[in-house]
Amino acid sequence: MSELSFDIRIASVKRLLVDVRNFRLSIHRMTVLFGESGIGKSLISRSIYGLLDPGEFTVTVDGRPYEDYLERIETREIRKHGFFVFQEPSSHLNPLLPLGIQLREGDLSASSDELDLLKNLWDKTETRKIENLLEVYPKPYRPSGGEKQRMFLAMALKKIDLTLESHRKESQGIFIFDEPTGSLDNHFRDVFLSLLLRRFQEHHFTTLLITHDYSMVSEITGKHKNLLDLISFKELSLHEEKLDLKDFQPEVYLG
Amino acid sequence: MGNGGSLSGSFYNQKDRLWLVIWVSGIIGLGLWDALFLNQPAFTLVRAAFGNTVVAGCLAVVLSIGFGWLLGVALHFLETRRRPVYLAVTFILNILRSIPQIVGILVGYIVLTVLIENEVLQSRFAQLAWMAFVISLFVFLEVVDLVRGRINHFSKLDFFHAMLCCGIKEHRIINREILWKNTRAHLFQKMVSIFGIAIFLQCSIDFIVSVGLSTDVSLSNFPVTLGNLLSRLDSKQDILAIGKAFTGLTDAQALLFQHLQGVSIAVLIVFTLLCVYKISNGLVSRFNL
Repeated sequence: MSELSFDIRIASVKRLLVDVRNFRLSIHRMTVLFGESGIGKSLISRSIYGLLDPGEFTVTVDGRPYEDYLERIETREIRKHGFFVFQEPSSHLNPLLPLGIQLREGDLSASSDELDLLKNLWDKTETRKIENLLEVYPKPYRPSGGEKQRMFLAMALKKIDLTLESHRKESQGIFIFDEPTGSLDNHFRDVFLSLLLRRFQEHHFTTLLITHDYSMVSEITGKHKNLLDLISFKELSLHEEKLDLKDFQPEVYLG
Repeated sequence: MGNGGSLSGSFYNQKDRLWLVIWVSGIIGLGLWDALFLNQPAFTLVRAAFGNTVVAGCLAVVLSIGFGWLLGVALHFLETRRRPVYLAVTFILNILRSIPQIVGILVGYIVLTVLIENEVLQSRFAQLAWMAFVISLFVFLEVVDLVRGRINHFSKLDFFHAMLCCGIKEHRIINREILWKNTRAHLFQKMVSIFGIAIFLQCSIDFIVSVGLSTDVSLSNFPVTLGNLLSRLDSKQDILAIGKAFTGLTDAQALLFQHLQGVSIAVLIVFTLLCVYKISNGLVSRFNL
């Protein structure tokens, strides 16, 4: 099996939110998914990762109730060996735990050495400042949105390192990045992309990178040409009330 | 002076602490008065009754919180993983909820009587523990509702999902992050209010049992509590004397010296309930619950 395929239908009490057929994810490849805001990219990715509340939405995956999907071994593997980086970093950090502790919680506790990773993500920031940041309890105003997002990205990269150390290529986890660079400037976006793609080059883990930042295309195609065979660019668009997943041609976009 | 003023001001604003101090001071004051003017056998009885009532109340609080916490968390997992079992347990709990507390606890006291007569429950503490257990059975659903409400609220928040993504076990997120770190104040306020409910129910039931059952079953067999001490003939006469106190100054003075047993018990019950109510309300406003 080289591809995962999902038929996903999500409805609230009042209306149909998402109806997508044959949503495909290539295993051990990176899928970069574009699409306009509000089209349902986050809902789709959350449903694949098993994060939707069956009590809040009516969800079917492949025509079966969402509860059945959550019970699948494959879904558990996706969660166990994967990671989900949320679009909105502020509300996803636990306000009652310092950032440093949150970086070592759960599966991430297998390693307490994340300083090098943080130094890379903070690029040229003094070590002392990073260490101070680890003692901060997240508040709406501190750290900044960009720092919170980078903290999430550090968690994801750490999970990638830990998972791939132990499971290598047979890992069935999916690493989902939902608008991971929305709060970052272009410099830090590129820093993150290079860190992610460096790991991807080593291990080819299944990745879904969701964005509406089309300028990312030129960054990936320009600086990471050697990986283009392993990266699928796709675009989600609304067509007659139904979502349509089309291949996206970077060379056409870039002219 | 200014600092002292602000301290007393902030203390006055923290109504829960203020009423706790008032309650403790009132109990100590009453104890001193009784030590001076109440005869020794009656004073010993009142102290034992107050102690037993408070111990049973505290046990009821501990049991209610324990049962409520456990069942609240279990229901959350059953609802998401074993729906038929969840529906069955909810049905049973709703039946329990539909039984009036007084009636349910009376049935529990009947069982206690049987256990005492069959010499199963001999020690006073075991009998008090049974009373507390029975009361908690009809009170702990309030804790279940609180726990479930908090879990439902937090499980919809983003950080819950984020912690799951980090591989943190759901039971740890619920027990530690949601209930321990984010619900402690709510649970503490609930404990205070359950203490008041337990005292009220216990006094009511003990009074009813002591008045309504034959003497060879009730008073001599159950541990002495404020409720059953109040139902004794001498206490009732003291209570009746309160009415006479409005007719003349001499009778009012006699209330404080000659009718101390019944009046002390009545004051202990009413004053404790009032203070617990005020402490509970104070906690609600202090922690914005």
